[in-house]
Amino acid sequence: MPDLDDQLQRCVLCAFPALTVESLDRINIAQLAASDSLAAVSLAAILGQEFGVDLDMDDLRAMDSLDALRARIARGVAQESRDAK
Amino acid sequence: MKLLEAFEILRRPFVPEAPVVRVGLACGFTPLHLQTFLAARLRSAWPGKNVQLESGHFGDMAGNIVRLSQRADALCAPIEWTDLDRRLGIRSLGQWAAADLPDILATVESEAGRLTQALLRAAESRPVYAALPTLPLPPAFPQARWQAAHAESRLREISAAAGTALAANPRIRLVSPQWLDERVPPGRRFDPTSELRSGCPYTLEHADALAEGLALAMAPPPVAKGLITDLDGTLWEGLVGEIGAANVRWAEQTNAHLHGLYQRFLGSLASAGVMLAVASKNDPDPVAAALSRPDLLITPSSFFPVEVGWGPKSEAVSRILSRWNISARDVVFVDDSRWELEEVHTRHPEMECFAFPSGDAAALWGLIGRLRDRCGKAGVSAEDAVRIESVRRSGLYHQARAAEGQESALRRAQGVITLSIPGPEDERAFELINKTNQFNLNGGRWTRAEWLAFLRRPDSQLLAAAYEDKFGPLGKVAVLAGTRQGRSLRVRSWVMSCRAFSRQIEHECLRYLFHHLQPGPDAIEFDFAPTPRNTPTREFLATLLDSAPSGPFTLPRSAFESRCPRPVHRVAAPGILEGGERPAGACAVPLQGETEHA
Repeated sequence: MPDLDDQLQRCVLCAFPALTVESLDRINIAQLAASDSLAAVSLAAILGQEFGVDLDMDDLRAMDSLDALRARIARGVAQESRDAK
Repeated sequence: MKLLEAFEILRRPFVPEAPVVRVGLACGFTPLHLQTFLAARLRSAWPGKNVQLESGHFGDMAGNIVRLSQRADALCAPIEWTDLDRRLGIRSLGQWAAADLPDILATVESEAGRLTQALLRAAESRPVYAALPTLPLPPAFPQARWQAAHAESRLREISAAAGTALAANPRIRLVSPQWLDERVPPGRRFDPTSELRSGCPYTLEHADALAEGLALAMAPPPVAKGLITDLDGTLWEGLVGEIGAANVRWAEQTNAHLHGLYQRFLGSLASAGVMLAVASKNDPDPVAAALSRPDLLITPSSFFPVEVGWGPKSEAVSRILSRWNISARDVVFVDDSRWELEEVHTRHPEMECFAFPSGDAAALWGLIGRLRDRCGKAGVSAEDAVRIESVRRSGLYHQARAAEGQESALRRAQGVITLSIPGPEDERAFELINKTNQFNLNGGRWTRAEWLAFLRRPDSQLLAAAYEDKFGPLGKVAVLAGTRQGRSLRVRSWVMSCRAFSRQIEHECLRYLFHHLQPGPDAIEFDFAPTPRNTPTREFLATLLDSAPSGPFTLPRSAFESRCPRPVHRVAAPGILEGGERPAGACAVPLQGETEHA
């Protein structure tokens, strides 16, 4: 899902501006959320607005990588699509 | 604006050397998304400035107002019910029993008074932008929510009283509750989950809308200076050339009533100093007869000029712009004919054109709302009352100038220039600095915070000029802001209303600086910068230099003396201190009264 990947990268980079595109594959979402809780709240809000996925801090603390976040969002998007039908 | 977009705006680098504007965001909750949206909107509104937003401590609204107002150039203060009594939120578990309501009311009244006083004190030294409680009250009253409880009404009364006190202060701008209601209904504002998780009570939608309101209060968009209107089908119903002046209508009948509303609205604009003109395809006589009907809901003299003829509307609009001496982008045009709107817009693409919605009350309601936003002013000044009349009378001066030459016309005009030093209460000076385009030294715009900070500088040198002659008053028309150290004077901003061109007011401003400042400067530095619209400034400066400047320059006193025309006006400077000192509060020692040049 290239569109989801690009959009997800934009979201993470905005919430955590110190990150670089190159570093995204190595990030640990849980550690990021623990290091800056306000940024994590912002990330959850951005993802909610962009993908319609309801995430809270506990959800983010349970994710160890960007892949995990991507998978969670993909599930949420698919669920929302099914609900819409 | 979406949150992602706001963050991306904030990731853009600042312009190097951009002046810093420190904005304090005083609130009792976690500002979180409100802060993000507000910062992004201010960055967008002020792309040439380095906006730094600072918030305070959770739960300490009053303390935040005091602390942040000491550090910030401008203060934003969105007050919520929890700032007035924490029991009106959901993070506190204080009692909502009926017996507790009197104490809640007393606390809210006390805190509202305390915060109001704190904001009024903060506004003594910096601009304040505030919002009164925007979130719904909790279901804390015994009554069902559809019934307005007495306690609820009393709470809203306290809030409204605070708003009345704050809005009366010219240095405080309040976000309109009605505007906010139209953006986001109250039921979509409170996010209980976010409130409990992070302390930010706002939904994203409401945080964005409130940020937009605060940003608009701080950085309002350019205001239209004039409105050009069509007549048939717009100012009135019917074709005056066909049915006669007595039969065009604007009241009583259902559809014609909309034209009456439009007339009443135009009258309101005129009273606030917005210039009005007519562009109509008609014969002059029936139009003159219709405009002289006693039941017209707007004073006919509010319209100047009245362009009536059978040529293209765009040409009539060009003539109006020429008489007003302003550019198309500062004017809006209203006509019921799509064809005419297109023709005018093609010729004047910078002019915003609005279709008059004949027979559609809802659309008219929307139109006058948009026109109010486009022409809205923070306050009405003395100059607003004389603007259209001064434009009308300036035609007489320009006729005399064309017939007998400028010097003779100016002498016979018996002009009086009154110089003064604008202070923080001078809204007109700040308005001129921020709306003048053609005679503008460098096109720079100042935030209110920057302006007030500049006025406080010990080295600031300010000058304002008002003008009046036998044709009538123009009001305060020029403002100059510079800095001074010893004999050195640097002019950072200099603007003059386009209504005051060709009267040598600019020469008298410079003459004052060279002759009356002590010690007098041998030369004056000017922070000139060419802009797409300040050609008149460049042309004026070229008359004092060997050629038109292309950037900052220095004007030696000797060059000014050798090229400045002979003085023709009487110059009064009451209240300006000699020796270049600043006025001591409101009590200023007079200069030598008046200086007779003529």
